[in-house]
Amino acid sequence: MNLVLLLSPILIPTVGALVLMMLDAFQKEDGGLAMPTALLHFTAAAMALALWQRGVPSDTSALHGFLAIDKTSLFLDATIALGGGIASLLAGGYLAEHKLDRGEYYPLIAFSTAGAMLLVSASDMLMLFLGLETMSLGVYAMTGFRRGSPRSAEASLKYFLLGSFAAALMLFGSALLYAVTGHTDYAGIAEVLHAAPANAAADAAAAIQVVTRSRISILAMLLIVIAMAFKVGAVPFHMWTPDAYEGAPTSTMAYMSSVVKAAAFGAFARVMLAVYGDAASAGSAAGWPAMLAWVAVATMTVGNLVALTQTSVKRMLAYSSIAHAGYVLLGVIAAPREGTGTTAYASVLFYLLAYTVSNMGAVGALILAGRRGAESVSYDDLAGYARRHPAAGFAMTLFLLSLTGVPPTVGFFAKFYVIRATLDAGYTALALIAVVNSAVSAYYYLGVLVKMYMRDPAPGAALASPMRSGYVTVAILTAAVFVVWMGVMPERWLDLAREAVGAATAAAPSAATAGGNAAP
Amino acid sequence: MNLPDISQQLMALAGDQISVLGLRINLGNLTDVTPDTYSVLGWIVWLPVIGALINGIWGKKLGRQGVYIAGIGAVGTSFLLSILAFFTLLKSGHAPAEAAEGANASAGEAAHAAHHMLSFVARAPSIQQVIDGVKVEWMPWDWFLAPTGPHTGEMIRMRYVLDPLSGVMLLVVTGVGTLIHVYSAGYMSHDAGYARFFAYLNLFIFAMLNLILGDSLVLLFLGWEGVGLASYLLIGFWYHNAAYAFAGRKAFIVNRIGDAGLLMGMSIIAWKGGTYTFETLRHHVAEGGAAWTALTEHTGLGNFLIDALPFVGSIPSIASKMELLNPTWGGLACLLLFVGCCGKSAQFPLYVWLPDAMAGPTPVSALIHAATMVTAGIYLLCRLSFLFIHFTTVMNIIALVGAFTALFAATIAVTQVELKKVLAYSTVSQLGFMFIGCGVGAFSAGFFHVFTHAFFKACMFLGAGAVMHACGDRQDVRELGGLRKYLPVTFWTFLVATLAIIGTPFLFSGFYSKDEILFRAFAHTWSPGLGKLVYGMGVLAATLTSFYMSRVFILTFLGEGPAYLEKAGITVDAHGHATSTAHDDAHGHDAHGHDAHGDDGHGHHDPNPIPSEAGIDMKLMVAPLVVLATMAIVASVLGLPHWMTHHEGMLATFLEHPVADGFQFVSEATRTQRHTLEIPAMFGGIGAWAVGAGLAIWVYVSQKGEPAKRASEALPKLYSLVLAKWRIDELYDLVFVRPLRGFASFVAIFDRFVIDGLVNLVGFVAMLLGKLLRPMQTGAVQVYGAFISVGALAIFAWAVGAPAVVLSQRVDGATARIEASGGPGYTYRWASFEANRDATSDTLEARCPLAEAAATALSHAGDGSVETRHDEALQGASGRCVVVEARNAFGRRAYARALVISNNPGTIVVPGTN
Amino acid sequence: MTLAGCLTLAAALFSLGVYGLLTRRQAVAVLVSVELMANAANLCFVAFSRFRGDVTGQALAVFALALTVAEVAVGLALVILLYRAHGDTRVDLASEMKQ
Repeated sequence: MNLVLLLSPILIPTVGALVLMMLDAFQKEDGGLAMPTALLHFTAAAMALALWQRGVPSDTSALHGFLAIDKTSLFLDATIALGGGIASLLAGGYLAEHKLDRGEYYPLIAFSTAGAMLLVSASDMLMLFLGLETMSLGVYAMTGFRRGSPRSAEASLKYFLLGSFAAALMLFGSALLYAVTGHTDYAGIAEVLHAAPANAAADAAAAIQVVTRSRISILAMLLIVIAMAFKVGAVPFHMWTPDAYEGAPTSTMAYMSSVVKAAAFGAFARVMLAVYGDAASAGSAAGWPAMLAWVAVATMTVGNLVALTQTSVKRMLAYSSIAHAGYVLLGVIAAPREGTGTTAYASVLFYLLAYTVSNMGAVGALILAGRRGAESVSYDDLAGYARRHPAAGFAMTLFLLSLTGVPPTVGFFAKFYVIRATLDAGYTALALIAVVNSAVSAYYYLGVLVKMYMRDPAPGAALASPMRSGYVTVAILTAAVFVVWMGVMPERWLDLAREAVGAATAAAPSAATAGGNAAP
Repeated sequence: MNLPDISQQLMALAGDQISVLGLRINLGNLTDVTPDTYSVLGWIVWLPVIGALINGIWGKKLGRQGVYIAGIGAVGTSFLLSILAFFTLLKSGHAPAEAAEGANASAGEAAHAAHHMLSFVARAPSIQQVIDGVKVEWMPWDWFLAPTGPHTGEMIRMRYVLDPLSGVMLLVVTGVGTLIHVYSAGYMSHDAGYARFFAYLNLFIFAMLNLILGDSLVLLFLGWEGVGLASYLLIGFWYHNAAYAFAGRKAFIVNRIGDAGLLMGMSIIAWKGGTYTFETLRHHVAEGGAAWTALTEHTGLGNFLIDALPFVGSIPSIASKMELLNPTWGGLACLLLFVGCCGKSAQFPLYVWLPDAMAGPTPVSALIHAATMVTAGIYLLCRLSFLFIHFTTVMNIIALVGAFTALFAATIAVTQVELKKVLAYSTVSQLGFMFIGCGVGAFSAGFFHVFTHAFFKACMFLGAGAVMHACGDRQDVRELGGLRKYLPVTFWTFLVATLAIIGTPFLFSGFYSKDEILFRAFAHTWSPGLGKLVYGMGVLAATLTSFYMSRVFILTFLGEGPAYLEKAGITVDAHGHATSTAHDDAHGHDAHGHDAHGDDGHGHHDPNPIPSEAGIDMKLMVAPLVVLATMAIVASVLGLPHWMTHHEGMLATFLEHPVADGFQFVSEATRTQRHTLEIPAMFGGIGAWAVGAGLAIWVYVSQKGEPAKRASEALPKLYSLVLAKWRIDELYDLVFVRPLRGFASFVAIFDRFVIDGLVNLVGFVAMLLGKLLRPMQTGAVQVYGAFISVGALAIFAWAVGAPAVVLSQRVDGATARIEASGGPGYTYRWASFEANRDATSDTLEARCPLAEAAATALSHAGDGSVETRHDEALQGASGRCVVVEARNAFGRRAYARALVISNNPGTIVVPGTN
Repeated sequence: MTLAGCLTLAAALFSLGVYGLLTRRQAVAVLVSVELMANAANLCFVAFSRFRGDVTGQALAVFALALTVAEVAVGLALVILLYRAHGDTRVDLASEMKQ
């Protein structure tokens, strides 16, 4: 297949970003780029779906093993592009309302999206690093976009420093992998790593080499896990999340918490399954899933517990995004399991899409509630909001219910599938902890609803009232359609996700041969 | 004449075509039953939610008129469609019969055929027909795969099914719902939150319809929670009032207890019965039952006696086929479901929320807390009656709980002075009657009472609301009185409803429904003694009902004019014009001006209004009363007893298929014999009516309430105890709440627990933990970096540190294959040795001492390989020990062992330690 | 230089980078520390590439260098933002948001 066509979901935002930069340079007044950027993203999503429909070719040797364009990556591409599109629309409303509407924001979104797509398609350490950095650099800039605000600067500095730290860990991990295998592509690495080792008894020197090699390989695995855990915001590598989310412009927060997370999880799952998916590394008692199980428990629990104590809705959403990362980790943990793993992997993809739309919607509703100079971020700001503005309040309610996991919204099924997958893989305790955590999370999500519907604002307090922005309204409506649609027909969407990962496993052998070509 | 007859004649009249406003609607097409695409059901359910959305989101922009149109329109249309769907259902009952007996059968023949169509048993149809019955369904899409076991699941469908049971319930809910929506337009005419109110009300109808029409326990549960949510929102509708908000919370928490029971019962049914869907469950139960029948015929054990049913599960061949009929699991499931019903339908001891729920606006009390939602428990029992009927112990518990609740609540109602409180306890009591019906195996009788009660109780609540609306929010009967001349329509309708609820013989529906229940208790088949006891309690409760309802009616409507007006010194002349003797002009407006003034009981424009039915709001309110009162009489037709017609009641016949009946399991002779008890049993009911009403008239009309005062003075303790509702709330407080509160003075945490309930305790502990964790986030970026580093080190330590290995086994022929779990860079050494056959204890350590393994067997086992499997031949009764030493890349070791014993398909595997 | 020497140097550089990241107060110094870590990894790539006689590692190192340059550019811009906000470039100034 034509290489350009194959890469089109990634090329569209890349080229689009360049065009947007030109447009920005030549336009007289700021603003007006939100709609083109959103359309760009939606076009990329449509392109990904078109490729899906057309059928991904089994021979992708033209990519030389650097990228895997399969249904998994197309599904994630579509998720990312949808999220990016909604985020662009939100930015169109938010930036204009808060007088931040400088044109460079939009090329940044588009570049980050391109990076995110590279990340989820990466099947080579180089591409993984390239995608990660491309995505992150744009997001760093978007985080510090409120130039006059010390908080914005602080947020982006923290995010940047720690993000670079994680990137360096990741790079070092890839270097170690290269050291022991001589390959940088996943397939090549896996092939060498899992080749039957030399008979240890025969040659003492060889035995030492085997042991050293497996030690280095384990170290590399841990470094990569840590770097990816950082990107998805897993405890204890999560600490940048609340600060970065809080200080960032809210539209950036929407992008970071949904798109960046989805991309990081997509890449995480792919690299772990492709490189360390073997029975030894992914052993349920001692392999990386067992380790991630602890991380997942910590992530869910810390995220939820600290979210409980927040007074700012924005910061609460930041912590809740940590908790959600914990739920998604459950699916990643269950994914290498033979037999039930495919469905677990599918549940991860389902969750990422569900979380993207739910969270985008919730943040969008929060943006909607804030006027210039009166951004609504705290619980108290929202007192009585839904009674004064039923439609805006209802939007917020819908998305918060979805985040809580109340049927028939999509959030329920996202959690349901992930927990089911965890149970099927035999991690009963983990599933129980997830259920309890989910129950705890209801407390702070519903707290917002209680504030909005059943509390009166403090006397003299400024009354939150929704801003007027067609962009934000369209963004919220788009998210709402998905939240409801996926909630009433979850099985169809799960089938799509299943198809996506089924294709991934089927395409694996061809990727292996391609990898062999790339590294002679 | 029964329901199918009526429908047949209506169809004949309409000629399958109706002309509406010049549009010819082909009724034949609309009512044509295509098996799974009857989308009208979808509209019935989804219209109210559309109404709720419109009112909830754009309510303020629409204004009052718009909200009324959207709210009433949605439910009203839903009601009209329900009627259509109902007739479609009836027609679908005809169609096969017509086909069988000739397409051009005359109306009479068709009716006859229809009768038979509905009495499947008489025509000896196939088991499939018996089980599936007449239904209309809408199945738009598969929803999600719900688990029924470790690796099994069932596709839950967004499927609505209309069968006779849900059909009747549907008509009640949408019909009464529409009336109450109309009423609410008047009642809430001065409340600022009208849009919210209608949105909640529509939401309630939506949830209730899901509960009724859903084809599976999952949809039912969704509706169940939905109605609970709507109820909670509506009880606390005036949440500014702390007491009201508290009542809402109380209802919420008590219902959580019930819901937990329901959820557990559901889980057991899914787990043991393998399904959530009613129809499938019915098939499974029928298969178990059929297997039992075959067995009894084969062994000549005799009839399918209901008394023997609990033992069905103990027969292994059937138990394996249908585990749910096992008395332990099935009985437990039914008991837990009944706990759920107790919560929702306010049975002892979970009834406490319902009287408090009267804090909500009166239409809510009428619709949710009298006519529909609280009957969901009975609906669930009827829906699953085919299962419940197999567990006689549970059935007996249900009957006893019902009887006790009926009696208990009635005693409380005798002493209450607030109109709505009396009605609330009366509702609890009447729900008890319905449970008696279900518990004695007369599910259709219980359901008939649901049906009649919906009308007369809704009518009374709405009447009470009209009284309150007209009298400045007063509902204390001591302040009222003489309202007959002010509120004539309310008076007459309330009278009819009262006559119905106290069981006035032969004219009123309440008589027939209550009588049927009492008769069935009297004629109880499987434990006659219990039946007599329940009957006695029921008669006593009926007597009390007759007394207190008459009392309330007399005190409110008869006698001298409203006491509060007299107290305020206002007298009213013949034309309803007031003259104030106390303050000349303070209240001296005429009654007709009062609708402009507004008196919703919340604005309190006028503390002492002159009651009148003249305002537009009052007109909107009294119109539904007339309809409901009429229905309270007309509904009798559906349940005329056997001795009058020599048939089962029309409703019972209609429900014959979906609802089980204890009589199904007794011989024809027994049944006939039991029917001879009908008239003796009836005397109890009539006696109760006569004694109760007579006593009330004597006490409150002849003696002007003197005997009541004397009685309360003679037995002051008893009186105050009953007045205080048997101090059950206080008892709960004492037993559950107080001890905790005492403890709480020491531990601040538990204070939170007591005040805000269990939910908040969890919240508080979590919050505490959260607050402990929160300072971790110091704000300093380098501390975050340090956390990352420490986390990384912890992960390295984990990888270097403790290896873990777990064994799993699979027996394949003569060998057991033991498999060790993998780990990165692991190498393994396998060894096996003879188990210690002389071990004194049977632990793994005694049989396979690890020390021995490490010392001898493993030292000969060679160097580590990456082989994770070991095959061990099955031999010897004492068994072989298999030991594996796993060594991770950093040289740390872990052991695991297994004992392989022959003649035993299983092997024992324990995880190893370092 | 031997492989072991290269590896030791890389490990030392990486550790130094981590140490600097955690302890240095000036934002620019922290930035330099981060770069040290990245370049330790690059050094590894180049060293193994050379000892394996395979150019893949070097190619990756070139890409990584380019990316780290871009990273530094963004980083310096953020340091300027910090300076604008606080008049100084100490990273501990950026600790307003917490808990």
